[in-house]
Amino acid sequence: MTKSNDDFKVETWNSKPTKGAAGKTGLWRTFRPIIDDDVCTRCEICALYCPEPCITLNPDDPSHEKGRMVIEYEYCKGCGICANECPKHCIEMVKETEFLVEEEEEDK
Amino acid sequence: MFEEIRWHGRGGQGAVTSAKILAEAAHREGKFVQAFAFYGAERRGAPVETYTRIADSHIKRHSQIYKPTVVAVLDPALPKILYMKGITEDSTLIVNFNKEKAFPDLKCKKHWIDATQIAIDLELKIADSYITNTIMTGAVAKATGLVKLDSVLDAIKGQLNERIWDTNLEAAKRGFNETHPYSKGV
Amino acid sequence: MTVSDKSPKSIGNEEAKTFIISGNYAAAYAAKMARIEVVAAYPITPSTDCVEKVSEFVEDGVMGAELIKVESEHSVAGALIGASSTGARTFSSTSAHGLLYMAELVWWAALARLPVVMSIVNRELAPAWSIWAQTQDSMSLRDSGIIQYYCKNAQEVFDTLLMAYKVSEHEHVYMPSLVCQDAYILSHTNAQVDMPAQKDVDDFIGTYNPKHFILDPKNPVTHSNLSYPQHYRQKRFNIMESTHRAKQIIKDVCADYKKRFGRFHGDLVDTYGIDKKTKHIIVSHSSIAEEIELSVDMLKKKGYDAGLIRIRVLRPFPDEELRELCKNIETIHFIERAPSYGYKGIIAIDTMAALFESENRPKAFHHIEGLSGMDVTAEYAADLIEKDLETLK
Repeated sequence: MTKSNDDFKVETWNSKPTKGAAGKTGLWRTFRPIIDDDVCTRCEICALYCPEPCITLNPDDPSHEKGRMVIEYEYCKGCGICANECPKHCIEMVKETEFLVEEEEEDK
Repeated sequence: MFEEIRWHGRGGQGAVTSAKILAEAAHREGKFVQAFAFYGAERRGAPVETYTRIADSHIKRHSQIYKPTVVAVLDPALPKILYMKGITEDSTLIVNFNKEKAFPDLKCKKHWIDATQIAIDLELKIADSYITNTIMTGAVAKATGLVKLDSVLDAIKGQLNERIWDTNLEAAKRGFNETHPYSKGV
Repeated sequence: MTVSDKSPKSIGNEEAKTFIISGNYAAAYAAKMARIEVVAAYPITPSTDCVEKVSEFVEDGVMGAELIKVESEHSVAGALIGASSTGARTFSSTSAHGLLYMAELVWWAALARLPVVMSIVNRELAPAWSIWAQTQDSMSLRDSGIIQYYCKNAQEVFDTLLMAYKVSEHEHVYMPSLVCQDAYILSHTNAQVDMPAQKDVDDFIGTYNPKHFILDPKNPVTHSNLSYPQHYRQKRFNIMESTHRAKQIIKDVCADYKKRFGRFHGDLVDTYGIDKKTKHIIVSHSSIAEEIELSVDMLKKKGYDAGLIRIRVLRPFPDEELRELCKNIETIHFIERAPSYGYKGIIAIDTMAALFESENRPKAFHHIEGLSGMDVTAEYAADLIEKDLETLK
């Protein structure tokens, strides 16, 4: 007779909400959003529109009384919605290749 | 001859077409071919891999390519870790870069081509992104000598709509002529 | 037999030609060249490309079929059953859940003796969602009487579809057929497919002239109404007779195809590397089997007398052929994509039953591999067999 107290367990596919469940979607990006902190008013509209959502306000940052907008580049797909919606037009979409060259030089 | 070519691009950049064009070019030279991709949830912009196999006899293999003899990278912004896997010292690597990069950690036959600039010159563009697939097919023909340029040109005519022949034929020719081996050595 | 003026158009294949196309396109081209009269479609991944290509052919005016867009796979089969009942040659393509949703009507088509032919892309069933290769979708319909072919490459898909019409429409058969290929591994892999000239296909395949029944307003007939047990039994035994006869008919059609077009992929079974010395036989199916041909070469090089049987037709099942091929062997190794939950691999179950009637019963090893399209590389398969044989030492 099969015992019920051995190691066997019924398995199903269950996934729980977790950060980056779809993998490092930052790899999809060809343009990187860069926020101009001097112009940014920290209105958080970019964070509201980000479909991922990977823009958050870090309230502890000393650069501004409200803190600072932070983009999580590991997951940002570079869709550009934030740049499009920013009322101050202070988010620039910069080609990823430009950073590649920089990072390569840093390596040396 | 049993060559396994792996193409790296992003969803929507035409890496599947690259694989097919090279396959058809080899077919025109009497070789046996396969062109395929790994399919999942297709997403524009996500890194994709496609494959071409070229052999002297009917190809019985149906599994994926683990040790590519040739790797072609269509998009300069793809992380190196994606296209490094399975590369051996005998592999040929052709990367779309706007300048010579060293890749000191990669031991293989390295070539570079500024395919994005050629795409900008020729206005090869779909939905705001530059398409380098035909350029890279020309580049692979030059770097590996697997197929003749003429076969690539014929294959482009076979695979693409007549409306876009002219730019893509020019693209493949420039890809063929502007591919450089790395001077910094292996 | 030649094509009549009423036959649907098929333009563009006047000469024999080689194309580099996917398994899905190979099926679409075969449908066009078979001069299909009615296609019903409700596309599902990964068989979508096939019906897309067919609708492109119809739209371009190079294929004369009537394309019916329906609201579900169940209705696809319904439309095909209706069309086939009027004597039309019919075609569709589906996969996985699409096929299971039409399962009721797959049985209906078989029991109504309608030679509907479909291209099936074998795909894993959910949950969890998966779109990759596995053959349980069609194999779970194996008891319906439908003839099932499992192909190893795109060329075989093209050739087998043409042969399937010839077999299904044989006056002693009149049963539907499924021509199956692995998801992505064949359905989306582009490879060379040689196609004969249209007139040679016409000569081979002929036209469909049903002799059993036909729905025709001018000659009213009631089809499949209530049947009492004594009649029911007779008609069901008639199906058993037809499906058994289909074995020889499949062999004849494959031989005829070889004579005309020079291509032969095996008939009920396909074999590789089997000779009088063979002691170890691998039994497999679909595209896995073509790669295992390489494993057989590897094993032979290492001194093992190995050979391969690819089950090309699962129903009707090639039991006599298997007994003959396995007469003098020591071990039999099953590598297959389709388990029957609660027992073993589907092909293993049938093969073992066939060998039960044999005087020599080889030692059997069972491997369920390649689920959800996982690679079964030649090296991996050869290693499995070597490990099996080590256990006997």
